[in-house]
Amino acid sequence: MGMVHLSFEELSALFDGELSAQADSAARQHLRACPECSAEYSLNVRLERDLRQPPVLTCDTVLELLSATFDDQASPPDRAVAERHLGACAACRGEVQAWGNVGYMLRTLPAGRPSARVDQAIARLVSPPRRVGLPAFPRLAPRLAIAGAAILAVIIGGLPLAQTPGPTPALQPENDRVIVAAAQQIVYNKQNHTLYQLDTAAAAVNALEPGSNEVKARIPVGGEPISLTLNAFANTILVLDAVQKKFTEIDAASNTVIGSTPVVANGTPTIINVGTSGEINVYSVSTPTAGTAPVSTVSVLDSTTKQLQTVREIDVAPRMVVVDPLSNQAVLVSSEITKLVDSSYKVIGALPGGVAAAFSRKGDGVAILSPTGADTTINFAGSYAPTALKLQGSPRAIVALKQGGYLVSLQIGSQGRVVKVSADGQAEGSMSIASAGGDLLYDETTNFFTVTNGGKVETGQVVATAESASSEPPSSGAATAPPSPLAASSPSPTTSAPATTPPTASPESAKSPSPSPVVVALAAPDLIDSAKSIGPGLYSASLPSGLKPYVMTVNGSRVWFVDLANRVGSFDVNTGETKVIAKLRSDARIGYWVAGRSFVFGVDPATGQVHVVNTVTDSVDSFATKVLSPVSGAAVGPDDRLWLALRDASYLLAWDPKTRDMASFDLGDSRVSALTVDRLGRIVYSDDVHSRIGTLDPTTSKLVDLTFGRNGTTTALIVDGSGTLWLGTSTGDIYSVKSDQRGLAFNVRRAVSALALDPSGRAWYLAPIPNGIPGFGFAPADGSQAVRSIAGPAAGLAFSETGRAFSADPRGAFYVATEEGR
Amino acid sequence: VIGGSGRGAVAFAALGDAGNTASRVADVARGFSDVQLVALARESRGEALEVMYGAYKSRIYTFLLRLLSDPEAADDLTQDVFTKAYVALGSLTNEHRVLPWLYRIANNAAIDHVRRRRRFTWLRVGKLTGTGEEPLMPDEHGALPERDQVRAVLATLPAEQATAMLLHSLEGYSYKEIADIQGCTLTAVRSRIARGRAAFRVTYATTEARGPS
Repeated sequence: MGMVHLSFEELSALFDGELSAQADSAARQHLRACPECSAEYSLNVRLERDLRQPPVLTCDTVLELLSATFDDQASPPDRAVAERHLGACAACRGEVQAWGNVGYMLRTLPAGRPSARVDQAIARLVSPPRRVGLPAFPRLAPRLAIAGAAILAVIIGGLPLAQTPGPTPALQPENDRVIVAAAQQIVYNKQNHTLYQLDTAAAAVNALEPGSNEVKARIPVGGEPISLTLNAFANTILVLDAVQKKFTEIDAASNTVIGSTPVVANGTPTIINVGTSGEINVYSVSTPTAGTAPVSTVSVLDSTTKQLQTVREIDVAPRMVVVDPLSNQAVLVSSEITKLVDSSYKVIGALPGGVAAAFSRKGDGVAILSPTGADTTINFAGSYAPTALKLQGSPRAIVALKQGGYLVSLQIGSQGRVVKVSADGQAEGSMSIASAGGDLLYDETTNFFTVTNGGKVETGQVVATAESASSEPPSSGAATAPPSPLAASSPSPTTSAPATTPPTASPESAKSPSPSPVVVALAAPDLIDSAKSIGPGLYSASLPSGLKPYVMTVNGSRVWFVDLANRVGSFDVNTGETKVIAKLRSDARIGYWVAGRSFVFGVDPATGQVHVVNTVTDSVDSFATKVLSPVSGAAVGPDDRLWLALRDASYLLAWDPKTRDMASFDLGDSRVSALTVDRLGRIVYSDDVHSRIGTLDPTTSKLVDLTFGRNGTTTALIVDGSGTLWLGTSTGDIYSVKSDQRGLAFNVRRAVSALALDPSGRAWYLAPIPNGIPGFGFAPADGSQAVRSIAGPAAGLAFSETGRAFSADPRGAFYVATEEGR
Repeated sequence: VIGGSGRGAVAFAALGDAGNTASRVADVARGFSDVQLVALARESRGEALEVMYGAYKSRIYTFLLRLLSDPEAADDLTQDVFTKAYVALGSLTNEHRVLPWLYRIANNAAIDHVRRRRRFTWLRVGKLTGTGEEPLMPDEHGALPERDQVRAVLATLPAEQATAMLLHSLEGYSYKEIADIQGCTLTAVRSRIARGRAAFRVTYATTEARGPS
């Protein structure tokens, strides 16, 4: 173009404003005319600017500087960076603009002042009761005087424990309300493996050896102690005296009293506990004046200095306060209402009143023990809250078990009773104890529980469930009373006291109503205790929610089942304890579910898959057997081999779960419709196609068959203890065959669902009730007993060694029939 | 100068007025200066507490109420704050400024409370009976339509951020003073306020305002 371009120096000088006015003007004129120089200049401008400026930070990096600049809190360099970013970033300009609104919005939040209750609390703090008359808050004086009068009234009228210390925190019906001393009377200190038991009558604390309850030390505290608690932070035991309004500290290392602290509170101190951060809480109750809610206070003291930290008012007079270390929540249990509070005593929820409560160890709920007439109701609340459970006897105490569920102490007449309640709110078992129930302590490391009542102490063990009996042998003195189901069904001090602690050997016995340790083992809880009675000798034992068994069989003391969701589980025939051990693949459909000695087999007839439950290890393995035809029968031999019959093949397969070897036995032309094994281990089959029955002796491979006509197709087959073969059919015909001779035959009119042997070897059948009546009937196949009926769906029939019959209720339970009803 | 810093400065100046007009009540309690209050505390803790409570109870309560949206908790914590202050009055020195000292106690109590509250979620209150026990929120200021939303949005912020924002925007404390109250560094305060403010704005913008129910 012939145009003379601007040099780099000229462009730079122009950018810096260092050209003369004339040269500047000429250069700018050139830039307008020359695209090359214009482009070069622009590039330079950008380059220069970038070099001279503070770095442009990303929006996120610069956010804090923008915010501080907005608040006029940024240093000058920070402010420069912020402003530079803002100049370049429209998004942040918008953001900063919006911040003006944030301040405005925050100012819409309400202002206020604390309520009168806080004013009063602070006033009391400033001028405590003994300084009534100081001018600071004179209007409070009359109220304080009333409170002082109320203290006396409570001591005289409301606290039989403190007023007349007797051997038993009395359980007294009073105007239809049951007054229970739920005061904590026993604690376990794991730091020195010692039980501390308050002997209210003797005004002393006994340090006991857990298990044997042998008195290691006796620590007199004097006064009228009402409850005690463990301060694990300081390794001390705190004993509260309601009358003298103080608590005494016992050093657990030396088992000596090391001091006492007065409790300054309006009202009678009734409960003491130690919070999760070590603070000492003393709850004091004042008698409500007419028409007002009961007023209680909680004095919170520093654990070490014992200085008062705060005083709170709560509008409930708690009998018991239970703190959940998991959630820091607490329940304040009173007879009218139980309040669930957080750690600042803010009410989170209201629950039914009661006498005692316990948080579940799984952190999913709380159980409240309430009197209902002369009996007890346990109300559950929380994320897992079963329906309320009613128990016979008056409520005394409740503790949570580590494996879930609770242990409950009750009083029935002059006797005590301890009931184990499952996590799903079912009574799993119970035992009687010699003395009336009282405070209850549970030691989760040994599974032992201790009931204390005034001066009496009794210890037992929470049941030995199938797995805990084998894996957790009792470790303390009570091992002398093995957790046998029969060990303590009717305990008495003379028969169940172990030799190590003869009641008369106590050196303290002359001094006071001495602890007379009685060690008892908790009888195996009987599932009947918690099952619903649905007829004479017939019960329904609910399964944990969601379990709906559709096939079942018995192996040892457990019923094994598969539920509709293909979960494999066991149900203890004695305790009702239910356990799910595995879930089968969702497309598995168990057609045969048969038990051997240490295995239970589930066979999917369509695919030939075999699911093997090892009942020793509680594990499940699944195998594909590669059968080429649907399975038409399954049975287990005495050697634990699984026998399978194939619908379209004339041979039997025998599969060994230990070696996983498969053997086959030829049946000639027979087609098996049903299979069973007799006592001698012979395989017995029914052939509906050829109207035959046959026997195969696997040791000799000898096959014997005979023609045996029947109506319908075979639905159940069994050989009883006398060697009689029983065959049930789809038409409801039941046939018997003995020594190749056709015997009794009768018709129950509906397809026979199952045949099972009771412990005496007698065959029973289960079949739907005819005539359109919903439900099932079961009876001995020989007709020796009347048919018993179940009003509901039933699947399978099996007997426990104790003679109880079990059938699955696919709605979520097991039917249990006892012999009494027969 | 080529660049946009001029515009930015204008923006800051314009917004600065609107964004930071919190009125600072003189930190003087019923005519007592901080030094006098400390001296009074040495003479009579009770009287000193009485004076402090009378002068600052509304400030502390309002701070807690705004932070927690829970009058009962604000009540409880106010009582805690002054009870703790009462116990600790002896430790006050002439170097202490009383109101920030109270805010420091309140800040700790509030943050503890919020942390605990977040842990307390396992109970489905709907399952409990008699939920009439739940205190109702008194609202003597009339129902501002956005107030509930502001409360709700503030509650979504980490407690440290929310307290820092309130201390600055409503109580008028400088970042340095807030660092003293919160017991953290200046950088931490700067970050808390910036993150809190940004999160507040975004959350507020993305939630629909609901009228008072």
